[in-house]
Amino acid sequence: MVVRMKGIAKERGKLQIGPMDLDIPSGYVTAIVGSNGSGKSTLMNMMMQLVHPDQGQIELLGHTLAGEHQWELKKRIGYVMEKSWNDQNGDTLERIVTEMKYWYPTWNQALYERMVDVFEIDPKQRFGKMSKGTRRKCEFIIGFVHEPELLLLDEPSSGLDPLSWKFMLDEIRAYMDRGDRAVILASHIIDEVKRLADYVVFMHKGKLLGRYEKDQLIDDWKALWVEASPEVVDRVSLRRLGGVMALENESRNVVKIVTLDVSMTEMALEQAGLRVLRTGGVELDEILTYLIQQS
Amino acid sequence: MWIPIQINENSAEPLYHQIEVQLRSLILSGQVEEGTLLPSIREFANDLKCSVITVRRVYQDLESEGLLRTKQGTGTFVAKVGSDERDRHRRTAVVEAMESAVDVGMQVQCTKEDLKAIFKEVLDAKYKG
Repeated sequence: MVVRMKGIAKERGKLQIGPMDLDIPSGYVTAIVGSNGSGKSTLMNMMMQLVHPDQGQIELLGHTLAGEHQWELKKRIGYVMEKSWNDQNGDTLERIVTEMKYWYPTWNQALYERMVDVFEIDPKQRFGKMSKGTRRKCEFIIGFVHEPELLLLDEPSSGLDPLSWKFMLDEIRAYMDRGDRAVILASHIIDEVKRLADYVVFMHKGKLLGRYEKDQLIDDWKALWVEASPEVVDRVSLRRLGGVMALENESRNVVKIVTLDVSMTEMALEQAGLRVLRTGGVELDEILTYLIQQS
Repeated sequence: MWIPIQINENSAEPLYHQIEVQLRSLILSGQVEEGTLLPSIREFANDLKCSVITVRRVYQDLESEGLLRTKQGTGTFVAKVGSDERDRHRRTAVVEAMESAVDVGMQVQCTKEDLKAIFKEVLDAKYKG
């Protein structure tokens, strides 16, 4: 495990985050999904020791975080934050990189040069004068080019044009292929999560709803349109079938069932002698909505 | 390289199964040739919008079937497929397609005789001249 959180709790104004336990596996991309205000950025900030939990313990790359900043550990982590630092407005990529080269033993100069080229960055331009997208690309380069063992991305595609986002995806993919690494990505953008994630962690109002294998969610959650004329079946009873999360009346004879376990529900429908007319997928944000309703 | 596999998220069939079926078919039909280096697990996962867990499973399953071969440090290659296996696959593909057609016929209440007549009609039209 690249991150182990035990009994973590933090109060941020009106938001009570946790208490929660969460393990993040190494070698995979884990997405923390939730709306703004769900607590996902605070979670990332705790991993970077920018914020300390009120309770509980965090273990990062095998080391327990204990109050004081562990600089050697920080050199093995890369962080691309959601908001830019305003006090860096006068800085340039070139100047920051001059410092970073000495601080990070794993700094990859060839990778840096290639990324500056691919993203078409002028290293001498001041951050304050850059467009949001260009600045974001610089922040990504800064967080990424020392080839960290753990990469923390907070809303990575924010402000990026589609082509730049595609380049970034390619780089993240190549980075994962180059070694035993982990990426933790906080996002509320479903396409980002779908493209990148192997695991999905759902959060809502500070509470952890669960950690799932992304493809397992896609396989298990389905919408089923079932032939259910009122003479044949009492629709209310369908709600009690295994796996059923929601029921909608589509028409007089057709009902739409949303299930979190399609095999279970299909079997129950077959036993009840009911015919499935059509199957459809359920999007990740819909799944989150149902899980929120259920909690 | 790009491999023509399409995932249907609306289907009740699990993702790994859909990918396996299509990739197996591409290999057995010879569309993806012996010796071809397949994309890395993560590259393939990105292209298909699925996770590396799923792709890894597909590569492992097809390797144990003898259709793929992994070389440490290099990647996963398409293995040599015997002609017997190719023929078996061709037959299975046709049988499955016909079974689907009969299912449709049964759903709209065709009789066996109806279906035979329709089949002959279609066959004659396709194999004309």
